Amino acid sequence: MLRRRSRPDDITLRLYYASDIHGSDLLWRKFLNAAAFYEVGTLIMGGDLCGKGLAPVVRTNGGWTLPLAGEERHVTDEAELKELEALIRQSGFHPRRMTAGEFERLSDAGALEAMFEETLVESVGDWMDLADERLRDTDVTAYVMPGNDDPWGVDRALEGHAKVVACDDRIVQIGAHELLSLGWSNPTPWHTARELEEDDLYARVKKLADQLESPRNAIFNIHVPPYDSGLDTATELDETLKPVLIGGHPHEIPVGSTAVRQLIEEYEPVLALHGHIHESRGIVEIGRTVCINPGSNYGTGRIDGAVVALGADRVRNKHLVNG
Amino acid sequence: MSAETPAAVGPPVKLFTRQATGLVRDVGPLSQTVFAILTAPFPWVLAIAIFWTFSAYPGGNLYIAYGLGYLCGLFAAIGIGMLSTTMPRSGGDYILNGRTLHPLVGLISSFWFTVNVLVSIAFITETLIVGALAPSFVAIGSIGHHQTLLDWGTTLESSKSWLFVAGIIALVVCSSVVGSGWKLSLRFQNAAFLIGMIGMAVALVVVLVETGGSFIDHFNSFAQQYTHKADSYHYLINQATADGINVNPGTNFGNTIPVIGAVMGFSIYTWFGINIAGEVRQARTWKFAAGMIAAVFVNFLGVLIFTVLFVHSFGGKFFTAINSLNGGSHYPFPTPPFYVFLVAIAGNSEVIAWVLGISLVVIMLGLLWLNLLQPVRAMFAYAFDGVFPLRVAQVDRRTHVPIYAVGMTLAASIGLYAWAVYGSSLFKVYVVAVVLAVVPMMLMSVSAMILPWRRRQLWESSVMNIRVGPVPLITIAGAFSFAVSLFCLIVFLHYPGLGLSHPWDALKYLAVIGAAAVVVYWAATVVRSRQGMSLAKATAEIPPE
Repeated sequence: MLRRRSRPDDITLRLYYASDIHGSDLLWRKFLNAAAFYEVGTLIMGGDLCGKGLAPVVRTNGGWTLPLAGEERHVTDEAELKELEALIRQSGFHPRRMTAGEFERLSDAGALEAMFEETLVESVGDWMDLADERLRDTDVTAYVMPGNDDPWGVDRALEGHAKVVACDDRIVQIGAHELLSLGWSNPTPWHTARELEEDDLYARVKKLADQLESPRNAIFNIHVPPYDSGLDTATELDETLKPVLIGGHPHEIPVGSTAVRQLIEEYEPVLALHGHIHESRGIVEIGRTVCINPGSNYGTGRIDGAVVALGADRVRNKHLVNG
Repeated sequence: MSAETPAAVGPPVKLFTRQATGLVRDVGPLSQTVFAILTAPFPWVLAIAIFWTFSAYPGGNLYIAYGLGYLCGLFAAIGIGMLSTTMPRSGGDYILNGRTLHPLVGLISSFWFTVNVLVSIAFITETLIVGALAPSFVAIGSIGHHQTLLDWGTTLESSKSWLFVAGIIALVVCSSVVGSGWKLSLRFQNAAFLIGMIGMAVALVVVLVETGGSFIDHFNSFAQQYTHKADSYHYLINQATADGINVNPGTNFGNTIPVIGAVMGFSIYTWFGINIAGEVRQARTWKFAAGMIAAVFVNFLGVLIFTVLFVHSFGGKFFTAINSLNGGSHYPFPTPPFYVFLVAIAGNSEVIAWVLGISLVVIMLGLLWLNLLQPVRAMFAYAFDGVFPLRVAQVDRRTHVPIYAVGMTLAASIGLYAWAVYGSSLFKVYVVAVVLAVVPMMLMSVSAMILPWRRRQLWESSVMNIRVGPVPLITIAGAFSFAVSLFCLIVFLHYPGLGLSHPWDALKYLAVIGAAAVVVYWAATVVRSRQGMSLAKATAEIPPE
């Protein structure tokens, strides 16, 4: 996408950013290929890698039984089973082969949670292995962090890879820019793994930001978008996770982080990348900072992302893309 | 894989889900169905859009036309609805054709359809004033003997300045609703629908109670001031007969075909909800397509039931005669014989006239609001893809509405409405606009047909991944949708009475608008290239392998 012949001389970094792929194997593969497709040298994944569903593939008499499109499917052919498992992965769910005994034990909440985490972490580990394989002979590096939805074991799965930099809760240098990353969010109605109260979130990011050598030239890669930015609009939910209706219609509210907004206003980084709120795709400016949330429609098989070209002290170009 | 001995599974094998953040959209399935109904609400059809065929195509069987016309609408809703379910994003045919066929094809298709909608907005606005508001004033004024309302009605019908002002007010009100965000918009939509249905419920009660002789008595009593005849009811039937109108025609199958075309002019658009697919909850389930399909049945039953009741209550000969005389020199009344007028006479009540008049005007405002949404959503999608400047997609912080796109749509609508009021050729363009809608439908149908091959993974991961034997169901649905679109196109090109007196005009407009889309795409390509982007890649699918 960023053609060599038309690159202005002062472009210091070209990157592709996406977030919230939620277990879609197809989207991860596209994410890795985005570097070559858009001709960028840096890939940034903004969190929420893991899917929301575990599809038990249960060994039964003469074959396997698995859930597909709301129905039970029984297959006996290994090739067909692999196709169906691939289909499940594309949809953002994690297939897991198991015996009938293991399946029955999943009625215990603790056993289910353990198997869920084990499966999710294994899946992410497989993805990172794939990244190493695909990016091996390139100059491309993938910067990946978990999001608030990702279980703790994911951090381990991101470590120890040649072409993947686990960047959560730290600052890493990318060319002339520092990348500050944090996958935590402010509290959500789902009470997910990585949530902090606004004061704590502020303190955590500030601790990182104070280590920046050149804050105005830095990139903030913070999963949760800034409050009331237009990148954080979502329907208000009640405690049972049902939409709050006013006059019979869902009530939309800003659900971003006040802490993140305050930090962007204080440090004025050149670029802020966000995800978390799938339906709030957009690009806005807060002061001098260009803030981007590419959104997510992970179930469609297309990856929403952003291609950004950075100059020394400003964003030269930014484009939302749908691959 | 485990080597453990296989055993029978007890509980059903189902997907386990975990607590995780999720996406919630604004438009619920019920509101989406109401939206689809409002694409051509049956009160509007009954008031304005169908009974003119009595004189244009005598003997055309309205019931056969309803059946086949809405069947075609059903096929279009299924085919295009299924396609949209696989990629529910706002932007309508731009997204569906662009993502399946080619981005440029999507843009050309969307330019055609958007021009069709913009012209329709101007036409609907004019029709709202001269076909609903003014006649309702006159109907209420003449039944209630209010000279002021009569004067308002006749002034709106005769004064271009007042027609323009009233239309601008309607456009600004509806654009303001669009610009206010989904919450108010959906309240407006559902209120318009509810008020429209209240009007039809009142009409239903009146025509069931005041039928046959009762209606004739009330009509004669009312009409005498205009006809100066004691039995105006039969006088009008005789007058129509004297004018050469067959008030008791048998079915003429040759004339039934263009009447089917006339019905298709409003029955085939319930898929319009694809333009807001990105805002619809559960849009990746069958509920989305089902809402469009349900709307076809609601509108079909509405026009069918009320046509049967009107013919039965007012008398078939009389109903044919008065609709055929409408607009001619022997038509005696200052307002057309639309249901607001006739039902109010049947009920012999000014209150009924008020209720029906208000309900018709309000539901037409809903129709206008709905049309104003499409160009906004299309421009929003163009901007996100880099075809238009990103500023066009910039949303208001409070309402989250792309305010520039709303302003551009309003400006274009006002311009075209001025053309409608002060020019003389907009109607010619409006009838061409049918072609500008049908060709994108054909392209979307092709997209549906080939989706399983062009976008295999998308199709496989959707709820539409059903096969009938070896053939994907969506391919079959797309083929039916293509067939009905093609049939509609042929009928409109073949029967000049449907308005398209110069079929070549349609090709001319298609070519000019298509060329404009190519120029815009080329210009955007150049601009983005200078910014270091390839526009084609902005929407192209990244190969996963």
